[in-house]
Amino acid sequence: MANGKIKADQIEHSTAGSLDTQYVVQGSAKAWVKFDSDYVADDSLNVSSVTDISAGTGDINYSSSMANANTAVCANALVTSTAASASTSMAYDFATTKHRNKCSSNGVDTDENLRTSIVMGDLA
Amino acid sequence: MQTPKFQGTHLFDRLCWAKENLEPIQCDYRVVYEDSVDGCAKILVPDPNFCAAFVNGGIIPKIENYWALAEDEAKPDFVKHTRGYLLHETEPMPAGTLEECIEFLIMKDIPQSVWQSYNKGNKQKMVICRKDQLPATREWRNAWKISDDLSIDLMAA
Repeated sequence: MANGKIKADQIEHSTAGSLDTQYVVQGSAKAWVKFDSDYVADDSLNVSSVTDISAGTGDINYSSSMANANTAVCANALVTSTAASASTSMAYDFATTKHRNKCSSNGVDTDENLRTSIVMGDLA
Repeated sequence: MQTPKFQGTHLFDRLCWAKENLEPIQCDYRVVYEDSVDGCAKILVPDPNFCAAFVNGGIIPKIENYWALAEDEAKPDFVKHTRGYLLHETEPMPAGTLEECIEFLIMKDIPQSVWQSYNKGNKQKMVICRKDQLPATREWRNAWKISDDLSIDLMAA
């Protein structure tokens, strides 16, 4: 059935109990993106563009805005530095329309490959 | 592909439909801009799924609706969006070209202070180029600036 819709407030497993579908909605990622050091999105959901701000730093702009800036964002990168333990990936500067994804190694902002952001929160 | 009549459907659901049904469009255009005198140039890279949704039409809301939400968020007493329906209930954009998609993204994701006066003042603040016109490596990335002697003819090429 094309464009069909099932409306349900709960889903129930045969033995493991039931779950409000609201949990599914609340617990799903609302945006995600994977990009490399060229800031070209290899794949994404709910992202309109990635802005290359400076070395190691990019803004992830959303297509569908979040309700507020209280989002939880997970940022990761494949750090190739030999001192990977001193490397960090982080997200900050949250707005309803974007967040900033930064990657650094040994205290120096650096452009690594396989960078990702996953955004949890409420959509506007 | 024929887009279902989406007016009234949550924008996120439309984007999920687009991702499922449309082929992503990797765009060669880049928008280079400077929003501070001291900072380096920033480069907007369009998202392939967004480009596909825009070109197909019937999915992305009109730019005025994004601006309305941006105005709400800029208010000092902003807590959360209460006019999200502007993205979901209003008539979406019709099918457009990739060039119109870039224009749209400029007005959506680049500060208005940049694109409203990009060619006023002593120096060009924004340039649309192709990715092969950017430096091939990211060496000295934090020193990248828009060239002072950029000619309008070259920019339009």
